[in-house]
Parts: sequence; C-alpha cells; structure tokens
Amino acid sequence: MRDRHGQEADSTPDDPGVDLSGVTQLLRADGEPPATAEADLQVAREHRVLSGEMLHAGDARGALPHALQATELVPENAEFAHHAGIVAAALGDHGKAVQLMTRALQLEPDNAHVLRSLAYSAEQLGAAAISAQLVLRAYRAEPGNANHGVEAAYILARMERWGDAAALLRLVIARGQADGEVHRALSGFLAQGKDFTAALAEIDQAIALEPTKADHYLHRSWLLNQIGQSQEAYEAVEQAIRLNPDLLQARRHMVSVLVEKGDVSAAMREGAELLARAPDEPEYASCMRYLLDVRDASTLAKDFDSVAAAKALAPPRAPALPSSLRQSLQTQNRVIMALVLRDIRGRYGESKISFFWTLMEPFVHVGFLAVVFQFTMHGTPPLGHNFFFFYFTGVMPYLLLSHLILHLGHAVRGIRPLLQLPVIMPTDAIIASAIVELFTTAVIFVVFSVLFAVFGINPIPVHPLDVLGAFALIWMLGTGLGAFCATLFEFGSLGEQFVNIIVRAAYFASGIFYVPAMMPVWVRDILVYNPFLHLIDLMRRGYFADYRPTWADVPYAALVALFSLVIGTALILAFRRSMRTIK
Amino acid sequence: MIDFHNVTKNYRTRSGLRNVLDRASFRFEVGHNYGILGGNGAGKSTLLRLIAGAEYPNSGRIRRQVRVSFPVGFGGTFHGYLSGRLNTTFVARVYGQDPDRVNAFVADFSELGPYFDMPVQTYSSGMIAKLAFGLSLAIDFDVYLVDEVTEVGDARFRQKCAAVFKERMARSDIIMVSHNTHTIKAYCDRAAILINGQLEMFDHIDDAMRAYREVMGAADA
Repeated sequence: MRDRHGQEADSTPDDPGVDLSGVTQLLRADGEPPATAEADLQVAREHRVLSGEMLHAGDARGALPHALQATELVPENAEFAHHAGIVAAALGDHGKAVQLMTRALQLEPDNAHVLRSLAYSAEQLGAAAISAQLVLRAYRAEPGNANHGVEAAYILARMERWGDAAALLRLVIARGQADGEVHRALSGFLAQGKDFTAALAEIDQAIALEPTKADHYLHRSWLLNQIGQSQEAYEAVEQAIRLNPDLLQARRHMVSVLVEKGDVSAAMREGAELLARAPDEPEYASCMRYLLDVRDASTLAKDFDSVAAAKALAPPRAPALPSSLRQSLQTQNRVIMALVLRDIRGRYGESKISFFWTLMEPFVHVGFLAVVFQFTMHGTPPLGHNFFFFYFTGVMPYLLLSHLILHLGHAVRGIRPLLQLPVIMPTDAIIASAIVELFTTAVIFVVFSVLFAVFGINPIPVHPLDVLGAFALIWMLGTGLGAFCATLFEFGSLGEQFVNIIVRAAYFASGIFYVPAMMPVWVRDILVYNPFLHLIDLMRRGYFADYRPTWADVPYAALVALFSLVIGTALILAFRRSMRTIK
Repeated sequence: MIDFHNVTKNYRTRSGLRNVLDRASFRFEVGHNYGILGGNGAGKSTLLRLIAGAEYPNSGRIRRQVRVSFPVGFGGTFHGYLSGRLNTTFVARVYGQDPDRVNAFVADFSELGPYFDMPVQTYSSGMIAKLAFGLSLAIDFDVYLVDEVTEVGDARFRQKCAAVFKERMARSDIIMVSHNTHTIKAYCDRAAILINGQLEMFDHIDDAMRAYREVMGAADA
C-alpha cells in the first residue's frame, strides 16, 4: 500500500499503544467556531492525516475509523474515499474497499491509483475479468507507466487467457517500455499458448537485456526441451547453473534434460546431487525413483530392438476365425462349469464348517417346526404320521426357491470383477448359481432321506415323478425370479428390501407349515394365486398317497414358472452390457 | 487384427459424461506392438477395456480376429477363500487351457512357494500382483493388453516379466497404455495418441512422441 503522507513522519511515528480518541475529541472541540464546509474539510484533513499515520505505523484497525470519518465528513473528496478503501483492503474487507473506491472512481474516473487499488480488491473478491479491465483503464490513463500493462497481463494470465496476456505485453514492448522481466513474462505466456518458437525469441530478448540472470537461461532451456532440442537445452541450463549454483530448480530441470537426451546415468548423478542438497524434498525422491524406472526401461529398450526385428521376419500368423455357434456353446459350457466349481469350492471347499451350516439350516428349521407343532396339534400332522417328514416336504421347496431368488439376485454383483474377462457373461453367472443351488438342495435332500430311512420313516415318494416335477418347476420359477432380481438389484437397494419382504411373506402364504385345506375357503381363494403353493401341493401329492388337493392347478404354476424364466432371461440379456460397467 | 469402426464411447464420471471415443475408426494390425499415449482422464483404461471386450461401445462396431487378453496383472478374478492354484485353475478353465500347464507356469513364475496352495486372502498385495502377472502370462493370447506397467516386485521380477514378454513377441503382440513415454519406447514399435475422442495412429514411435510432446509438453521427468 503506498502512503503519500510520509513527509509528516516527524510527528509521532509509530506508537499504536497511545489512545488517540482523546486527540480526536480535542480536534473536534478545537474546530470551535461555526461548523462550515471549510471547517469540516479541516477536520476531515486532520482525520485523514491521522489515519495515514496509523496505517503507516501498521495499525490499520485503528486507522479505519479515522479514514471513514474523513470520507463521511467530505464525501466529495476522492482522495479520502480512496484512502478509506485502502485501509479497508488492508484489513481484508474487500467488499467495503470496493464500495469506497467505487465512490472515489466516480469522482475521478481516470485516477490510475484508484483504478489499481480497486482492481486489487476486485481480484481478491474473485472478479478477475473486472480487475483486468480496471488495470487496463489505468494503463490507458497513464500510458507511460508500463507497470499497469504488465500487471494487467499477469491478471489475464492468472485467468489463463494466455493470448490476451501476450498481446498486452507485446503492446508494452512496442511502446519501448520493456525490460528483461517483461520479455521473460511474455515468453512464459507464449509457451503456455504452445507457441514455443515465439517464446524462444522473447527469452533471447530477455537474455540480451539481462545476460546474467540465471532464471532466463533456465526458462530458455525449458523451452528448448519442449521442442526437442535437448542439446541446446542442456547448454542453456548448464549456463543457468553456472550463474547460480544454488538454483535447485535449474538442477531439477537438468535431470529432465539429461533424460530427454538419453543420458540416464548423468541424470542419476544430477538427481543424487539434488537429493544431497535437499534430502527432505519428496519431489526429488520421486524423481529419483522415476529415474530408476527409466534406467530399467532403457535397458529393456535395447533388448526389444532385436525383438522388433524378429517380429518383422516371423511368418504371418493365421487370424483366429470368428467362433461358430458350436464353439460359443462349448465356451459357455466351459465357463459355466468353471464358475460352478469355483462357487462350490469357494463356499464349502476350504472351510468344512460352512458346509455343515448349509446342512444345519434346513435341519434346525424342520426340527423347530416339528417340535413346536407336535404339541399344538396334539400329535397328528396334517398329512402322514410324522411331523418331521411333513415339514421336510414344505421346507425343502421353500429353501430351494428362496435361495434361488436371493443368491441369484446377488450373483451378478458377486462376480462383477470376473466380468472384466469378456468370455464370462452375466447369464453364465446366473446359470452357474442356479446349478449350485440345485446341487446343494439335492445333497441336503439325499442326507435327509437317508436320515429318515435310518429312523424308520419311508422316504421313498409314492409318485416320484410328481416330486421330481415339483422340484423342476420350483427350480424354473426360482431361476426366473432370481434372474429378475439380479437385474432389479442393479438399480439400488430399495428393490432388495422389497424382495426380502416378499420372500418372507411367501413363507406364510405357500402352505409350508400347513395345508391349504386347513384355511377358510375365502383365504384359500386368495392363496391359489400364489404359484408356489401349487408346487408344494404337487410335491406333497407325490409323497402322501391320500392327499388330493382339489384346488391345485399345476398347469397354472408351470405357466407362471415358464413366464418368469423367459422374463428373467430376457432382462439379463437386455442389461448384460451395462452389468459389466464397474460402478 | 482388431478393427474399430465408427466407435463412440461415453462414460460417466462424478463430474458428468466423458467422451472417450467419438465416431472413431482405427485398426491394430497383427505383428506390431502398440503403445497408446494420452493424458490423465483421456480414457486410456476405458479404451483398453473396449479392446478387451470387457466393455461395449455406445455405438459402432469392434471386430477382433485375435484372442485378446484381459489387462495383464488384473487380479480382480481372485476369490479370497480359494488358493492361488484353484484361482489360476479357474481362469485356465474359462479360457479353455490346460489347468496343469497353466499352474506349472504360474508356480514357477510367481515364486510364491508354499503360498501357492494357501488362500489368496492370506497374500500380501505384492504376492497377489505376482500371482496376477504370472496368470496373465501363463495363458496364451494373441494380444496382451497392458495397463500402465505397474510396479510389481523388485527390479529382478520386472526383468523376468520383460524376459517372458520378449520370448512371447514372435507369436503375440502387446497393446499398452501409459503416460510414461519411456515405457512405451521400451516395449512398442508403433504408437497412438488418444485425444479429443480420436485415436491418432503413428507408424513410427518417434513421430508419435513428437506429436504427443506438442499436445502434452515434455516428459514428466
């Protein structure tokens, strides 16, 4: 901040501890006679001087009230308003500063000082474009002061308007006001605009004007390196280091130039020198790591030259033909089997305990139902003679269906990383999961049957085809619904929660722990819309000879199962591409 | 040969839709190693996934008459509960290759010793990377895709990777993306620059370097 009251420095220079409000009152009282405009001006001047002193002494906070007082007393004085603005800006209140200085500017539209102060505050407030315009106006008001032009160019450069900034500096140069720094700045802006040739011409001008400035040579070297003239770049940076051996940036740049030249060992020497001079600089350390990589790569490059030659001589390769339908089917078959094995091994292979749990889940489930209902139903199950066996015929289908829906629903998400292998399709994941579920159910089914036989209950169905058919249809239904869920779950967790509720509700609405005959007819009339109910009845018809569910409509259930399979497959195929995208 | 015809590809980022390719047509010929240069965020990795077939274009057609690898060193297929051996067996099966041959190669190459038969979740990240590299190189592909040769293991292990690549070169090619021009120079005889939704092809690597310098500035060392 410039201070135009330095000439009064002999009167109380810097003592911010003194309370000056008394002086103010004294001054007020002093201007005793009439409070004319002349007197106001006098008092305002005193305030202004006082404020100037305090600001100069570093007490901007104390200076502000006086500055404001001065400009309030004589609002038409531009200098007072400007000064108040400067004090506000010094306090960091650029909003206030802009307000005050705008008033000053209205009074003196061509005052370059005001324009510059206002520009500074405007840029601090983020209005860089306005700031640049103000500084340009200052340059128009005082065309002889190159500083305005250069400052405007820097503001434009900070806005990355390299072309405008360069044009402005060219104007400064055309007016013959340029020193080496201006040429250096212009060179930098031109380089940012990728005009390296013009940039080079400018830096040469700068060097001609200031031949001993190391930074100019460093910049020249950088430019030469950009356009691939690494030998000249090397000479320039060498000159920079000779002029200023402590300029670490120059040494750092030397490393880049040497790498560009292909002299990696010299680059490593220079990098080591850098690290020795500034061991704590992380950038120099990563530079060194990079150099080690480059050294590896360049030794490799020599090897690969011979490889390229060998390649050129190698006989032409037969192109792999696009695969036929049979081959694609074989591939899919292979992929599905690999996925099935991976899934089974991943689930049970490495930890025996998880296989134990998979077995325990239905066992506990059936056992719990059997024990509880044994007491509430006074000893006779709804069908057959054994509670365990009755609940087994309901729980097994339910577990197959619910596992299919939930596990298939998560199957695509679970193998998402695998979809980075293009041979693996989302459909493969669904099919593989469905096979694994069927396999798991089959194993549990056999274990249960053996256990029943051991305890003297005949596990052989009276109509085996009904049992098989029920399982097949449940598998179809579950696979279709699971595929549907796999698509649904791609769209967020809301669908997942919804499906969880439905799966739980199905437990109560499908006749798992009762037979629909036990329900009132009006309830049954609603329940028969549930296709799963019919499939459980089909299953029980296969086990219990005297069971004749009159409401059972297997073709309806089969149709729904087929329909769900078609819809599920269609959805997976429709979304198979977006499923690959990594989220 | 891998042929891109009029391919457009956008992808979603946090800052909106990004355009990787805009009706771009180009072709990778058999018998050349290609290096793809591009600035950060130009979509190099997405382009590599398009070449692999792991991602689909928004429009246009990509034809491959070669067996293209997944990105070399990709370890995303590993199942943490399964041993290294079972994991490599899986990928070998998926690509229809003899699991015994693949496993023998990986066991020898990745230097995991007894860890090869331990669950992958017990591995350090360096071991996973070694396993992944070994697996990628064990499977026979016509074109290997390399994303930014990551720093795997020590210099000796990298030399080993390079040696295997070198031995493969007579019958296989490499397509590599990187912003490190030195790596590209070391592995490739042709280069391309991914910029403004187009892939500009250069028959000579030095021409590409010059053009790349013009758009990006000098190398980053």
